[in-house]
Amino acid sequence: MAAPALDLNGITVTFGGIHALCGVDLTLQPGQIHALIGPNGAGKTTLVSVLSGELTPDHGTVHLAGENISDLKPYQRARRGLLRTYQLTALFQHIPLKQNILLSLEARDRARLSLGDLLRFGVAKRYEAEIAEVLADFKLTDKADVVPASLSHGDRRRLELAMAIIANPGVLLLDEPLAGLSIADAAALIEMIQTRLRGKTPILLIEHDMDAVFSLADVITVMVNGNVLMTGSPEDVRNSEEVQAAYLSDEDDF
Amino acid sequence: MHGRLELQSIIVPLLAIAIGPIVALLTGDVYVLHVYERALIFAVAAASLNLILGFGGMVSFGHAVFIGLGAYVTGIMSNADITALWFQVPAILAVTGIVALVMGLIALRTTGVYFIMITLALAQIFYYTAVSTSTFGGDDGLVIYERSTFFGFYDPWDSWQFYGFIATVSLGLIWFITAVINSDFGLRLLATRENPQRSGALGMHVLGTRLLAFVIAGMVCGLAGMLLANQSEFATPGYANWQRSGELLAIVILGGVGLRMGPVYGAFAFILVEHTLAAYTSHWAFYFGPVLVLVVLFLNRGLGGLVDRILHTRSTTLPEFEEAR
Repeated sequence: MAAPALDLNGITVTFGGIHALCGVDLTLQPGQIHALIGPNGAGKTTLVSVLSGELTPDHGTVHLAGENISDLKPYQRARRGLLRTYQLTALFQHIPLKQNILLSLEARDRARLSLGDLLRFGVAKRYEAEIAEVLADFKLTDKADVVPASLSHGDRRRLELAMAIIANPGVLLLDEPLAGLSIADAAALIEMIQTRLRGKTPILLIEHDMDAVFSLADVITVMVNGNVLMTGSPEDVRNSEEVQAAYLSDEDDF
Repeated sequence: MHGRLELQSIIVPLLAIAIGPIVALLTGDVYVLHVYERALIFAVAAASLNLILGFGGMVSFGHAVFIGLGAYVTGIMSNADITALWFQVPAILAVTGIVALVMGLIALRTTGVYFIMITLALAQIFYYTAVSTSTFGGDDGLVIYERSTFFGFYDPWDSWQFYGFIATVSLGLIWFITAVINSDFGLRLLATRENPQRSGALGMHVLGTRLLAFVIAGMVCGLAGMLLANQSEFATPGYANWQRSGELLAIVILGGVGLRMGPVYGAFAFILVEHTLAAYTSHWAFYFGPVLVLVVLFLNRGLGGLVDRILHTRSTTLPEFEEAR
């Protein structure tokens, strides 16, 4: 059997005296969409930051496609195909859209910084056709020269997801991609994930919108207070009394 | 991609090197060329600072150290009869490159106000070393007896030919900085300024990108120091002290931070105002200070922004002002 796309073992993180994550184990199989749910403060975003390398855990290891990446920096993990999106969109706010996309396409091609880059002016031209295609795909063509800072929230979310998708990641971490979206925008984004990523890219999805989670996820892991409560199929999770109890005590998050 | 902006980047430096000779011919005063030589030299130094400040978000308060280094290497070599640029330029690039690399490796571990203070401190180390090293003139500076030469291609002691030398090198360096900004590397540099976290998450090496920009800026500024040493026939620790670094910052701000041609506008305004006011009073800075304050308060994006508004062009993006739009 092929190595899991992503394998976490005993991830422990403490902030001061508070245990944000207490020995979390999680396995993401190739081609699967694996949702991570839980009440606020359960440690979901902390876990994503550990995976992307932005946060160093106190204990535990992370394996990407069989390779131990626990000691790698964020950019090194990104170059191995592990990409993430951010709960609060993290775009290049004052660089025009098409150059945001260019940077993402370069990430896909793993273009590394070399001294030769200094003399490269043709880069934007070489990607021109592809950038136009991406803009059309994501319905952003008329905003090619606009900077993300002046986009609507829905457009920003779409661009955030577009930048992740076109970078052709080996594993994608989606941190609340639907947060703050209208029903129509959210539906469009779910559709995008279904058609472009399902079956191809393994995804770890953090989302509060339960309809989206249950329609997208192959496997769901429920976290509470830094611990994994259960991992199972959407059906199992829906019927679990434990999960219901955990959520009922903190119902506002639904 | 940038339309008329690119045209501005080509034409403005050409105008900048043409204006000196035109004034000299109209007034019949060759001495006036010296003023424009200084303006061009400071335009180069400020352009290199603008690369890291305006496009990399690194506020270096020690950038003048590279002027000092470039000037001293030039002076020491020229006085040792090694006047050929063929030897001087590689030496300057090596010295300033290595110093910038070390300085960058230390200073770039920090950001914001700490970066400002560390660059200031590191630059002052050079200043005080130069002041206390009597071999090279110490506090009094180093009188340079020979100007740099290039295969006898020009006579460095002829005012017109020497101006031609300064103008050619300045033009090349200003265009070089513009080319770096417009390159793929320039976009990455801008990206690391805009969002270092996301840059890393896309696989960019943030520190490496910044460090490379810092080294390029240091080397180009070192060549500006070479020009200044030739122009003034003098190298003094004063070239590298913090007031000079402050002046470079003032020039960049006056011209418009993060505008490709900002440093050219800023340097010409600065030097010409300095030259004019200095004819009346030695306390010219007393009058110049309020001008800078007014420019920052009322001229959105400095003189470059003013030019943009008049010509209806739009230069590169800059956070603070883009949002206000």
